[in-house]
Parts: sequence; C-alpha cells; structure tokens
Amino acid sequence: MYTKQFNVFNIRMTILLFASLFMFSACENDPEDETPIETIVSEEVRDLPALSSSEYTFYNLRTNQEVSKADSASSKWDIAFAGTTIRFNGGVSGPGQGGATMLTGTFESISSAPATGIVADSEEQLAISTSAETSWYNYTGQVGNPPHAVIPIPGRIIVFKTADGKYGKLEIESYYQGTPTPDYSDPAFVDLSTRPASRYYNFRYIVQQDGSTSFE
Amino acid sequence: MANPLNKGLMAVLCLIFTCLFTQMGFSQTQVSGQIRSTEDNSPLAFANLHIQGLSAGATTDFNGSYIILFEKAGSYVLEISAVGFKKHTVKIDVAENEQATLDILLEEELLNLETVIVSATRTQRSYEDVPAAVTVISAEQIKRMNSLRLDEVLLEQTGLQVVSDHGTGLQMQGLSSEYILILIDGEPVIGRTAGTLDLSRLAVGNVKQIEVVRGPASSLYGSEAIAGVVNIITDSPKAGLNASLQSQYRSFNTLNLQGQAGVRLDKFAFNFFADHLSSDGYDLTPESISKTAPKFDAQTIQGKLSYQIKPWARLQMTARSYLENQENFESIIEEGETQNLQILTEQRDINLMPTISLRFGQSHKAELRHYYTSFYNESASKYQSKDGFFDSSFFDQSFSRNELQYDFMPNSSHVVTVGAGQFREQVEATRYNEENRFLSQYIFGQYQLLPANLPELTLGLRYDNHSQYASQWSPKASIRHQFSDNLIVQVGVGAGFKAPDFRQLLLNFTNATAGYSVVGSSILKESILQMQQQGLISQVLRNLEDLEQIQAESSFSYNLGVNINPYPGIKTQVNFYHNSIENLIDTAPVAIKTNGQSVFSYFNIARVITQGAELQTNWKPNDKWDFGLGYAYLNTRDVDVWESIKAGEVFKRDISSGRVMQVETSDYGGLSYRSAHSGNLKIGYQFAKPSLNTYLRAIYRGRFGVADLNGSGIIDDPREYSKGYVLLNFAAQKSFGKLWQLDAGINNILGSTNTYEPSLAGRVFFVGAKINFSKTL
Repeated sequence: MYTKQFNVFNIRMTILLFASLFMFSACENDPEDETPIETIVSEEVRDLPALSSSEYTFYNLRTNQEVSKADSASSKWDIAFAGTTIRFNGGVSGPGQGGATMLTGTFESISSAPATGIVADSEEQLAISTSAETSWYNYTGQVGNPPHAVIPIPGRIIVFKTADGKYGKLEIESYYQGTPTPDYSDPAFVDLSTRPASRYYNFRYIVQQDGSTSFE
Repeated sequence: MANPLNKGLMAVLCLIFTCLFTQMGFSQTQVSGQIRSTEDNSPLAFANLHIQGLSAGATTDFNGSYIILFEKAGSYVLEISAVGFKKHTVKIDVAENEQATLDILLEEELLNLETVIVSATRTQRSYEDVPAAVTVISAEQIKRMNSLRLDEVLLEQTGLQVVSDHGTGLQMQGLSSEYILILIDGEPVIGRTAGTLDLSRLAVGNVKQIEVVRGPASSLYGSEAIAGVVNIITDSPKAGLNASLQSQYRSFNTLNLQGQAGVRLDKFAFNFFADHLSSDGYDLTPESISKTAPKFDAQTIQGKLSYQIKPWARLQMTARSYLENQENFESIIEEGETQNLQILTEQRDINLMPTISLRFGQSHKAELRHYYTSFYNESASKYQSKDGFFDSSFFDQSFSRNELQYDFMPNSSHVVTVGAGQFREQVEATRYNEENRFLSQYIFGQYQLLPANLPELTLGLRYDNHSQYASQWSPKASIRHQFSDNLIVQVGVGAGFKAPDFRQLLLNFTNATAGYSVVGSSILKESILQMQQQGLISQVLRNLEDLEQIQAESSFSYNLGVNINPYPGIKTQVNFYHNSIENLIDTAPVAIKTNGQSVFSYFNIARVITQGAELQTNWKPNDKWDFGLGYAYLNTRDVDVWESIKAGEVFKRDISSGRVMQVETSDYGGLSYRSAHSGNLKIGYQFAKPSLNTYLRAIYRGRFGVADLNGSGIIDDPREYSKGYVLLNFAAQKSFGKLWQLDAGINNILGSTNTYEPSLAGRVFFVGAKINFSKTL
C-alpha cells in the first residue's frame, strides 16, 4: 500500500494564478472588478500511486489530499484510482453526487462543464470507461512501440462533479513514476527493464468551488 | 535464350513472294497479303503499309492481312512498319487489273524502342499509343541490372517502393501491395499474406518484359487493380533451337542457377525454364536468434508449349511451379523459461494456363483461357531443447477461372473488346472454419476509337458479381491526343476495387494468450450467436440485425499524362494522378467478451486519398551513354483524420513541455511508410575496347513516417519519421563472342540499412556467368 514515502507533492498553482491575476487586475487598475477567481482550486498532482487493481486509492480534489480507505463509503473523496480504472464518488461507486464525462480539447480550451453528459458510475459502465470514446489512455500492446505502455490520449479532458456536486476538469498527464512528461520514444522507456514504474498518476485539475459550471 | 544475332544466319529478312497471280472476275488492281513476324511467324496486327509518294496505304487486321488498291498499274515502293519491328521497304510492280498476293515477314527490332504493351487495354498497343501511364521494363534492362527476382526489378522504378510487410511487398501511387494486381502472362498470382504478395517468389530469368500500368484497371481486370497492375510477360520460344545456362553467386552465400531451352518449328514451339535460388539469409539484429532474412532455397520451373492447329487456331499451354523452403529461429518465453524455436516454412505455387486463340476472317479474334493456380504454405515452430511443436499452421488456397475474350476490329479506327468469365476460389487453413469457397462471374467490354490525326478515345466497363460481397461496376474512360511527334497528352478517369479477402470474410481466430477474437464479416453473426450461447459475450456493441453486407474497397481516380520529347534523344513522361479510395476495410470491436477482451470484425471504415506526380526522363545522346532520371512526389491522407484535424479535434503532447496542443493540418504527414519524395538516377556507359557494358544507378527514398510518438495517433512530428536512404547499385557485363558473358557488380555500395526496411541487407557483391547456344533448324 501507499505510504508517505511516495510523497505526493502538490505545486500550489493557485498561488501563482492568484499572483498573476492580481498583477493583471492591478495593471487594469479596475478595483471594482471583484473577480470570483478565488473560488477555483487549481492543482498538479504528481506520482499518486494506484498500484492495486482491486484496492482503490481515494483522493479529495477539493482539498487536494489523499483520503484513507476507511472513508471510502463517505463523501470525503471525489476520485479513486486502481490501475487504469477511475471512479467518481457517485452512482455505484459512492454515496456522493459525483460523476464525469470525457470531452475533447486542450485543458485550457474547456471553459465550462457541459449541461448534459456528466453521468455517475453505473453497473453497466463507469463514467470514464475503457470504451474508445471515453477511455483516457491507449495501451500499446505487445507489438506497439513502446510495447505494453499506457499512454494518455492527448486532448482527452475529464469534466467531473465532486462528491459535493462541484464542477471541475482534469487532465491525466502520465501513468509513470517520476516522469510527468515521459518521452515514450526514449530507449530507456522503450526497454521494459529500465522503464519507470507504472500505475503512478500524474494529472492536473481545477475545481470550481462556487458551484457554477464555469472554469474561468 | 534470345539471340537476335543468330537471326543473321537465317536470312536477315525473309521476303516471301508467294505471288499467286489469280485472275479474279472483276477488274481491280490490288495487292493483298499477310504481314508476319520472323520471330514466331505470328501475324502482325496494326502494321502500317504506306506507298511512297502516294497518300494510299493500309493497316493490317488481327490476321495480319491487308489489301491495297491501286488506281493504275506501275512500279511502287511499299513501306511496311509495325511497332517493335524493323521498318521494311519493298519494290512492287503491278500490272493493270492484277490481283497480286504479297506476304511479308518483318524482323523484330533489336532495340525494342517501340514496345508493344498488352496490359493497358488487353489488346496489343504500341507503348507510345497506350491510353494510360505505363512503364515497360525489358528483358535487356533486367539483365543489365542482374536482377533475379521481381522485387529487385521494381525497386529501381520511379514511383514504386519495395516495402517489407509480411513479405517483400510493393507500393504504387501510395497504395500498398493488396491494391496492386500482379499477373503472370495476364493471369493473377495468388497467395498473399496479410495482403502482401511476396515479390521475391517471382523469378525474372525468363521474362520478355514487365509491364507496369499505373492507376486503376478494374474495368479490365476486376479486383485488386486499384493502384495498378504489374504484368510479367514470360518469354515465348524463339525461332530455331536456343538454350542458355546462367549462374550468379552473391554475398550471404546466395546462389542462383538458371537454365532455359526452347525450340520453334513450323507449327510447334516449346520452351522450358528452370531456376534455383538459395541463400543463407542475413541478420541485422545479431542480439536476437531470429534472422532478418531467413535461410532458404527455392525452385522455379516453367514450360510453355504452343501449337498452331490450323492457320486460324492456336493452342498454348503454360505451366509453372514454385517450391520454397525456409528456416528461421525464434526465442519465446513460456512459463518463465526461454525456449528457442526452429521455424520451418514450406511454400508451393502451381500455375496452369491452357489457352486457345482463334482468328475468324479479317476482323475477329477470340481467346478462350482457362487458369488454375494454387498456393500452399505450411509453417511449423519446433522446440529445439525438447520434443514437440510450439505451433504449426497451414494455408491452402486455390483459384480457377474460365474466361473468353473476343476482339472485333471492323477497321483500323475501331477496336471492340468484350469478355466474360467466372472464377472459383477456395481456401482451407488454420484459423478458418472448414473449407471455404467463393464464386464470381464477370463481364467486361472496351471500345477503342482510333481515328487518324484526331483524339483517341478508350471506354471500358466491367461488372463483377460475387457470392460473398456486394457486386461492383468498374468504368473507365480515357482520351489521348498526339499534338505532334513530340507531344502526346492523355487524360483518364477510372474506378478500381478490391474485394474483401478471405481473412476479412472468413477468419475465425482467438488469441490464446491475450484472449481477444477476430471474426470475418461473412461469419460474424453466427459466430457471435455461438459465443453468446457459450456464455462468452458480456455485451454486443453493434446491432447484429442492422449489419450491412460488406462492400469491396473502391476507388475513383483521374490522371493526366504528358509525353514530351523536348530534344532529340530525350524522352520525358510526366503523370499526375489522384486516387480517392472509399470503404477501406478495417477492424472494429463488435462485442465485449466476458474476459473483458473484445471481439473484432471487419467493416468498411476508412477513406484515403493518394495523389502525386511522377516524372521519368531518358536521354540517349549516342551509342555509348544513356541516362535516366526519375522523380516521384506523393501526398497521402486519411480523409477522416484530415477532417478531424481541420475540425480541431486532434491533439498531441509536446514532448519537451508535456503540454497538449492542437495538431495543425500543416503538421499532418499522411499515411505511414509513405515517402513524399523519391527518385532515381541511372547512368549507362558502353566501353568500346575492351567491350564492357557498365550500369550505375542511384535510388533514393525520402523520409517516411513510421510511428506515432506524441499521442496524436498520426504522423505529425519530425521525430516520427524514419530517415530516407540511397541505394547505389553498379553492374558490369562483358561478352566473349556470342557464346559467353560474364557479370559482376555491387548492389547497395553505400551499405545502407534501415530499421524499418529489413529488405536492405547492406552491401551485396555478385559475380555471374552465362553461356548461350542457338541453332537454326
């Protein structure tokens, strides 16, 4: 199981964002424009392990913290990982209001959550399943180059609802430890014996805390 | 073997004055007769007769017959010309009301500058007159290159790429092997592996010429003729008695032995060809026990027999057989243990082609052809350290066809060709259900309007009906005009199709280790139902009742060809083409199995466009030098991918920043393994003393996309390309009298290799010797 030594370190993008926006608004010199921007939580997560394919790693996106397995039946978590499987806290997966849908675009270009399409995990299908339309990754298989690699599909953005019904968007960047931007053609990656360990999630996301669907 | 010099012994030009002066009932001054070839006594159609100083003349019909009417008696000079033959002049004296008969034999031109092509129209047409983009490779060129197999010949042709993919395959107009029809004497070669017909199976030692017709030709040939047709025309027996023996030894312990013998008598002709090729193969990846090219030995034999039963009827029988044995090794991990396997493969081809050719009167010709061919492949992987087999498989395919072609030429301006046929194809193999059989019937027609000094028109249409997939119409139209001796322009449109193959229709395969299944389209419904009954299916993704019958992959194409001779001795040919192919067959999941894996089947999914330009220019300034320059530009795209990029729906992950960005249309590199630029430069020089023929060729293939590295799923980054390469080949020939010839040379002097093109073995040295015998009978 995961222990602290795997060290989930969070880069406080929020601060940067605040700083830049502050400077921006300062330049504009428009003190009356009270932007609701502080309501957006924006984070990058590195090397979150999801080592078991049956025991999930639970994560709270609002607080940007891992959640203990003991709280799996609560609304304390928003997203859970086990291998390549991803669940959201809602439907068959949990007691929350969570759900998700897969959109196509760059992370920046997704400016709001869609009015329809966000669904909860169900018995038949998880909201983010492995079907061609909603899968977040390609598996290269035996004949692929690199072989047996799980590679996030660029342009696949998960738009989700947290357990408490807040909207957010998430982009998975890498499935390999210590390499948020792997070079999949690097011989060290192609060679299975020197490839970084898999089942470590690297992703970025934002959560709109004000309850609106806007990400701006 | 062809020994034109020998013809000197048998009267350089035979002129037979049969001079049967028959006095007919009506009074007209005329000369009539037949034009035939000295080579095999066959009648020459389309030969031109012209009377010097007069505008009068005639063209021969299919029977080689002609009639010239004279207004008055006198002395005339008659010029006779026919493509591929030496021009001949003869003086004739005709008396008033005389009806003279004059048969003339023409001698074949040694330098076959005006070559006759059959593949483009299924009728004999001069190379210059063909309404399509055509390349002809003569036996002389093949010998100059010292090529042993078809892939070596085609590798050096402009716009053709030899690409390894389950065998040595071909790429033409940006389309792969499965869209190129390969014929031997007009009959299709079968035995494809994953669509690739292995060109290294086809020996070229007994070839008269190889005709490459670019662009769709399904209006004449049916399935597979989308990108074009490669027709190997084998040698016919030469006059008299001929024989030759040839050997060549190459790097990698490669040995070729060839023998050929032929006899032609008055009515009977026979020739025989035998070829042995063996090699130790080579290994470009010594770290693995598997060789890049396996050790093999291969035997080809071919016999051709023809008999002129009646002056109007000829019977011909061709039989060919090929046998190849291969040995390779492989290392696998089984239950945690490394096991070395020895893989033995045996392959057999048989081709039988009996043909009856008939000529009725002056303007009718018919040919009844039967064709039987079979292809058998058996492969077994044997454990080296213990008894037993890891795997074994076989593939047994046969094809038989009956076809009747009828040509009607009311006069020299109109040629009508109609034909009909039926074929049966059968396959039995591992991974297939019990014996599978296809039936197909087809009809085709072609009309050629050939008015003097006006644009020529060719119209063609074919209908194919098939037992397993939707029937096909294939039209074609072409206009060609000779503006001057130095400028010919041809414009054509046409359709091509490729029938779904056995695999796409009938495969029934489950991967034992990964657990997924692939099921052919014809057996899809019953297979899913069967798997459902066995409880193997958790979810069906498509409504099985709504599944449409699979369609043939079909293309629509147009081309513009220009033949221009800008300067005496320079011949230039440019061809622009555009192919749009729809209904390309690809796999897609149909159902999810209870083990989580998918069941795949074949569907008409993709659309692609290939377009480009090919330029070939040849310059022969004098008897010593000859130069050739070829360049091909190619642009390919998957239409759906292209539209997704335009719609902003394709993304890539930038390696350095890790950020996701949108792919622009300007980034798109088209279909993988296609080079945008390729070309060749050929220089020949004939030394006088000592007499030595040298030939140097540089063949360039530009960079080609190989793999997606940035997650976009397409080729759109410079790092996703393989580097291009240059092959530099040199050969020299020295003749000793008429009897002996020695050859030596180096192929791939630069030692180029490419990870993605394993057929490049590196530098190859060769030496060879040849001996010819011939005797007039």
